[in-house]
Amino acid sequence: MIELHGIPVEPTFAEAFSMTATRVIVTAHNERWVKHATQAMCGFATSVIGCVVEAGVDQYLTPEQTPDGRPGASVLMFGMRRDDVAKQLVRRVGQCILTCPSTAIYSGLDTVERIPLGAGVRQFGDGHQISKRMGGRRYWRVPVMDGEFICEHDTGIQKGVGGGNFLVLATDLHAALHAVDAAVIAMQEVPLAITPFPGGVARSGSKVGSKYKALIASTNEAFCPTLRHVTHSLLPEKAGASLEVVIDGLTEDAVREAMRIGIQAACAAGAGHGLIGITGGNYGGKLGKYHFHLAEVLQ
Amino acid sequence: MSSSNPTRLRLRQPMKGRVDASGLVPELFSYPSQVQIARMPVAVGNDVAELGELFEIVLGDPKYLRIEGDCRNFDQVARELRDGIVEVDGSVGHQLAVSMRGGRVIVRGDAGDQTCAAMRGGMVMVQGSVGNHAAAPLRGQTSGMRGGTLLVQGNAGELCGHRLRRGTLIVRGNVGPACGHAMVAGTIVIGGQAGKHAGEAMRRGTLITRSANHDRLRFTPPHEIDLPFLTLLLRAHPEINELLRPWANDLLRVYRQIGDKTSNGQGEWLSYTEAD
Repeated sequence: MIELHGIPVEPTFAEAFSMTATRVIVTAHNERWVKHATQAMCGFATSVIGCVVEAGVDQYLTPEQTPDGRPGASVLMFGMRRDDVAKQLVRRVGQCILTCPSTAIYSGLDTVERIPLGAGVRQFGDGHQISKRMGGRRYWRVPVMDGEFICEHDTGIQKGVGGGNFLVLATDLHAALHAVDAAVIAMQEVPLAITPFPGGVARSGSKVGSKYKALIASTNEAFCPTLRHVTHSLLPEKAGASLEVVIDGLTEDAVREAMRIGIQAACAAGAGHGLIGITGGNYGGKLGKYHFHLAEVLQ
Repeated sequence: MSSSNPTRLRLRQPMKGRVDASGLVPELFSYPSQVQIARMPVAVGNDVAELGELFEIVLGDPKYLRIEGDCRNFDQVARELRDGIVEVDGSVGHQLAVSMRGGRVIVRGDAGDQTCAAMRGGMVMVQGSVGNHAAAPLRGQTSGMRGGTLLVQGNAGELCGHRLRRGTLIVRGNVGPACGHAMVAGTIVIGGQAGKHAGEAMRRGTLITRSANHDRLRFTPPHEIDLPFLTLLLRAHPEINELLRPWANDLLRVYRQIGDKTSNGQGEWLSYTEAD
């Protein structure tokens, strides 16, 4: 077992899955409206189990980094199937970006396979929309009450990696939150990866299946401190709380890098402040294609 | 232009008759031997000559063709060009780059009528002026330019951008009558005077000039508005940025008019001053 800042990291692995992913760039008049738009677009997108897609802001962009020279953000969206991502993207652009004052949306992925972006929203213009092809890309100008909503015709889609994770084991909730806060803040600097849960963290780590037929996932009792003596617990003796940081990435390397940065930051912040250990969430290696061994990730 | 050594065609002497130069595209020069290339037939008026009789040929990069000499009698240079570079050090005749699909063409002189007619892609720059019907349809066709960019550093004749379907036409100087007539889409930018009847019968598309159109029968009154899409246009075409820069501090804030109303058109006329 390796240790970071005196915190033991268990010799196990995090199990992740192949997903379908897209990337878009949202711009607006200023950073405040970028945040309004992206928060709305990435709302209710924590887990494919109940939300169809998982989404989050990958990076905030400076005016020099965006197609139209305004502040922006890169949004990643993941789903299990191409159609899921395509439908959710059009819905979320139509309800959250089109509606938000001053915004525009562009493709953030130059892959051969494409899904509709403006192609699905342009009809809001009711025939007054204008198509423009500039620099080899096609854009739509849709008249709206603050002027024009600009959206690129389509965006790229590719295979991504979802469900990369690590678990923080701590003496109590306060200590666990302290460690994961530090981890998620550090991971925001990693490009092409998101942490889709609230604040980047899930307290409802799950196992596959349930005693109830309707549920495909249920609480992971092995890490629930209140069930320590009634189930087969995997919590260390002194652990009073555990939290899971879940990571989706456009590439395997992005997930690996986010895990590395996150675990290092959690250990650095949590050492001496109640952090007991780090472990990974897996299903015995039978479900996910990607196995991120924590020892290898930290090398 | 390109760091490689071009294939050079030096005109031996000025031609009197019209020359069909439609074969003068870079693909021709990927033939294995100079002899074969020199024997390529070229129509000169009602006669046929060999390419080697007209030009001194120096083989180089087959994707990069440079034609040297006064070729104003040479029609259809770079016709249906798909790839590569064609440079002409001098003027060319009619129908330069018609039906072109890709690549780049640079003419260091003037070009005749129907320059870039029915063009679909690529980039053409004419450092002098062009004749009538630039970026317009070929005879018997209904659509003008469908893609690509034509940049004219001088002036353009009448009916440039007629029935423009897509693509970008930039004229730094003045244009003749009926520029953008019946255009359906695409973008025309005029640096000088727009000429009479500009934008008449336009259905869609964008016409950018310095001054607003005062024909109230055809165009709505100008209203000032910010158009963020112009950022994309200016970034995709730095030459437009350079052309418009002296006109305003804020190039995204324009006067916008809709027309041609008499044709139920929804084209847009963008300008930087309300005055003539």
